[in-house]
Amino acid sequence: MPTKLIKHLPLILILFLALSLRAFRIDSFPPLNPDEAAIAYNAFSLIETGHDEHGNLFPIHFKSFGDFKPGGYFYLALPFVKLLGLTPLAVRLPNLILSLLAIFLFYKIVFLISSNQKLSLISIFVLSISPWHIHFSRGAWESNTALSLIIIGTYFFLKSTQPPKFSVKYFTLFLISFSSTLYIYHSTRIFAPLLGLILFAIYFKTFYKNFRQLFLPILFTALISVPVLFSFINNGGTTRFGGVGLTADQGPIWRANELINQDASTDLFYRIIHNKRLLYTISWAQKYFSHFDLNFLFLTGDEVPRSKSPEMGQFYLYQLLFLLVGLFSFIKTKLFDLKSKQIIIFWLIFAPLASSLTFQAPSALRSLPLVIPLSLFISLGLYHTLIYISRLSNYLLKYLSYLIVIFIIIVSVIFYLDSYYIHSPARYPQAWNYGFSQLVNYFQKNPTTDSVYITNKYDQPYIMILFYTKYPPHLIQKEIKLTTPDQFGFSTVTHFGNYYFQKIIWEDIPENSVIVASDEEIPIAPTDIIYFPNHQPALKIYYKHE
Amino acid sequence: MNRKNLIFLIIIFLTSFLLRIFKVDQYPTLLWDEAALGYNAFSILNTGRDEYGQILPLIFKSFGDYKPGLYIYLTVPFVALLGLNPLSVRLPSILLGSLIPIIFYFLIKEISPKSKYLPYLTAILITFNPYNIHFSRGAWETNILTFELILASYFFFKYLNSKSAKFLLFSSLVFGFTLYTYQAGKMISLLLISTLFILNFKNILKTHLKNFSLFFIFPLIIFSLPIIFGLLFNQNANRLKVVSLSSYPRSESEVQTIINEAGYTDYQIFHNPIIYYIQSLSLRYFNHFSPKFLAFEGDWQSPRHSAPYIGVLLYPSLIFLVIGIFSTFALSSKKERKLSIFFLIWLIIAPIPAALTRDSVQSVRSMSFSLPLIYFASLGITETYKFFETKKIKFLNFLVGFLIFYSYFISFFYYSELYLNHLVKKSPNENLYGYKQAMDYLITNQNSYQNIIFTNFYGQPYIYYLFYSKYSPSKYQSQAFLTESISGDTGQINQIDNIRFDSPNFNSIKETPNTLAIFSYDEILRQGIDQTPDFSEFIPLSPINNISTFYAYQTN
Repeated sequence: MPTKLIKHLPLILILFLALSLRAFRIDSFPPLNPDEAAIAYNAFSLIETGHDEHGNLFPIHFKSFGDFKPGGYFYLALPFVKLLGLTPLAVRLPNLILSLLAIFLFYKIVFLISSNQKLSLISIFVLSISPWHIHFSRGAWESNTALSLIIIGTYFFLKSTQPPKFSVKYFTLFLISFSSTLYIYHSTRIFAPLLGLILFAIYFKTFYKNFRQLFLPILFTALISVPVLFSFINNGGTTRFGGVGLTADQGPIWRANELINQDASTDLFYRIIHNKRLLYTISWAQKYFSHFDLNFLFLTGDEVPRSKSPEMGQFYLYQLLFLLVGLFSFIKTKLFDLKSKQIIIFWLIFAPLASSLTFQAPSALRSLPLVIPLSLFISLGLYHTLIYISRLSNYLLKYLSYLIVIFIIIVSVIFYLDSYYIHSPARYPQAWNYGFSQLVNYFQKNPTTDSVYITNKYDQPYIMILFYTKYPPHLIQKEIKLTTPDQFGFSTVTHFGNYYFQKIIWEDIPENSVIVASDEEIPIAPTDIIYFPNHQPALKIYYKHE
Repeated sequence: MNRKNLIFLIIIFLTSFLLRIFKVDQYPTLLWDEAALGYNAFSILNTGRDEYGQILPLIFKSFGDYKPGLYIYLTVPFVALLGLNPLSVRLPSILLGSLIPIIFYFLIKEISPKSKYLPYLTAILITFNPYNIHFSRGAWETNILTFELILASYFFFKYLNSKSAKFLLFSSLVFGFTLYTYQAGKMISLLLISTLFILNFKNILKTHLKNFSLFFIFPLIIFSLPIIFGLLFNQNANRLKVVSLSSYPRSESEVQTIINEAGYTDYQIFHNPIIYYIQSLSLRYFNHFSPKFLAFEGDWQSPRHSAPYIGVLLYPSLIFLVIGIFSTFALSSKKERKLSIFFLIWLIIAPIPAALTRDSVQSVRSMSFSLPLIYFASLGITETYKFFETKKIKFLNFLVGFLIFYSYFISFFYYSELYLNHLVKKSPNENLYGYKQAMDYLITNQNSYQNIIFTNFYGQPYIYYLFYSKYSPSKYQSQAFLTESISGDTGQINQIDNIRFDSPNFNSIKETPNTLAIFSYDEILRQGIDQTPDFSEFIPLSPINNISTFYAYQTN
């Protein structure tokens, strides 16, 4: 075997591990969720007609469910949908490919800042098996795509500032990577500029010397970033923030009223000390710090079923130990220089900011950039532990320790896979819109021209039907009508073709129609039942005839 | 010690004392345990016996919860001086709580005499810390325990430095006292003693072995003999019920869900009781380190244990705590590193006794946790300040100092408002608001009625009656009879003289002549009395918010 291959074998093996953990059954597991279906169907619509489902010509923000999704991912998915057709795999591949590229570049980054190959390998190993990173690599999660681009951009940044010579080429690539994330995910619009500015500030001296060369790239970046700003403002970006932003949580207002009532005085003093701005600030702080709660990180994880696996934290429990070792040794370690340490710390501080400004925290999805610094600390801890073990003079103790570490790592990964593949679909079947692909199959086998009434108990059923039936985009563009938004700012579609999506009330549905219900009360027996993985009925099909 | 330091310590003590004694005779409301401690001290003072007629017991039966006796004996002189009232019951805790900053100062000076800011800052911070203020303003045995733990540690290190055996004996004695102070004290003392030993292992083995066996281990064994004896022969005496592997298993339905999802083998490998125990134990343990507990909500299980909507630390401490903890191994001074490692271990062991019980978070049982928390917050501040000090920009230096001071000032002000105006009003029931007013009413009108029924809704009403009427202990001892509870929890007293402690039933009371009944608000709601015209005859005894916790009703 060529020596070069042997030298890179560990890296290749780890990347292969990362790939297998992320790609296994990705075409069908987890089942497609409505956001993914929306991305795929809109890309399909663009391919067919040049317009999205609402008839907008190549938009920057996609109206979709009235939530105006940033468009970057739609365009990334477009070539894959063109090549592979309207399938889950097509919409997931861009994120998967960028995730793997990001893992590889994470290796390069750690090697660049530490010049230590062992630590670099450990770091990408930790990231490869990270439940947090695996979860969001397996699906069209824009959050993870944006993070991948941030990692790629950071690599270019570090490369550009590498002595001996400042490289404008890499610097431009850095700017392009970072500004492209603005088109991909809402939360990154806070994280990417902040991190970019801090990187700039930390390496200020390097740039100061070369400031003439910076002019063009920065102007270019500004130019490509401006459209996203205008589009955001024009497309109700602010109302979207009103729906999921900090102020969507009414708690602080209630609390202000409660406290003022208890003071039984409307003196200015009490109104100042219990004003809702102060309480919102405290609520923000609580949300921010909740991302560092050990239970969130190591035991229970996110509360949103679509973002979690049962009984798993965002990291493995055993990693807490390595995290602590890593953190305790961080200040003194000579593996990183001061600048790199500053980058890591600011990354850590900025990562949960966007997430803390929303109504629901902690959120694993919105604070995803946290996975990078925390994994790095864990890796540092694991590295120091392994070095310590390797220096043990007692052979029995030494190999026993290695064995224990390896055993715990393997068992934990198996525990996670068990939770992800077996328990998760059985415990949160609603979260993943199980049943819709089978439903469309059913109608292909039993075609009907009657009206079909489908329950709205599950999230956005209309997009699932559009996706699986490959409904002609030029038809939906004429038919589509969004409902008035709910309290979170989301709308849906209640009717297209012969499909109706609504609350199923038997009496209200006209004769000669097909009904697809979940657990609503229906006086007749279902003709067919589609089951969840936990053997509970997901969708029941009825024929209402005279 | 120079004069400057002396003045500093006097100011700190006085500030602590004032913060802790301010309005303490009325606020917060007197809790059951406080009334019981007070009345037992009163009983000891007058008759030499506890409420059940036991002569000078080490452990008091009280509500059947078997209280360790130290606090009661500490209260006796104050009751003798000031009479039986909330102030005299709380004074031991207030005084020793005000001494904690002083001892803390000495402990840091002892281990790391060259630290420039640390001892002063720690003393100041703990003076103003919500966790410590809260439990010093009430007869909380756990506060005494915290005082003893830091005092015993101080003597321990003092001995190691001075080699004078008397300090070792002091340390041993104070550790011995912890066994009679608070139920959870046994475990944390044992953990802390082990920590002290392990940290100074080489030192002790080499030179001090004889002293240690003679002046430390031996007295401790003497102290623990009665406890061991009690454990062996009287099962009730062990109140701290630790959660063992089998006491709180996963619920039956949850087990069934898991088995349905993936089969029995999967359950046995990945979700077996041992793994569940580790997970739930870690959950409770981690809760004590959560920002929610530390800065934003405090003990969310019981509103009595902290001021509402704020944690056990002031807001800025949360950030400095993190900085402090993670600079431990980067400290340049070897002695400060030693000190920090000692408190780091304390930080790790302090929530263990609380995590082993069923509550998801428990600020009372883990109170000695406040000491390492404050230590690391102070360390974080000094390290931050030093970081900017090296930058040699005078103005920046001043600005950082000012910002830190200002943020603490605002936070403390905000905490005080929440504590003083909202603690009781937010949850009057849990804070037992109204017992005093209701008992005062009962005592004034006691002789005009043949039958009196007092609600037992809020628990243990009898002790408030004894406490506020200063009931003759010898007279009570002859009639004390505790009905044990079936669930193994605390028991209750059903009758004293013509007063029945029970749940009053309005319909039967209405028909009984010459009766005084005291209702709780919840009973009025449950019996639907507020919907009837009779409600106008109810006298609200303890108005709070828009209701009253107690109502009186009388028939002729």
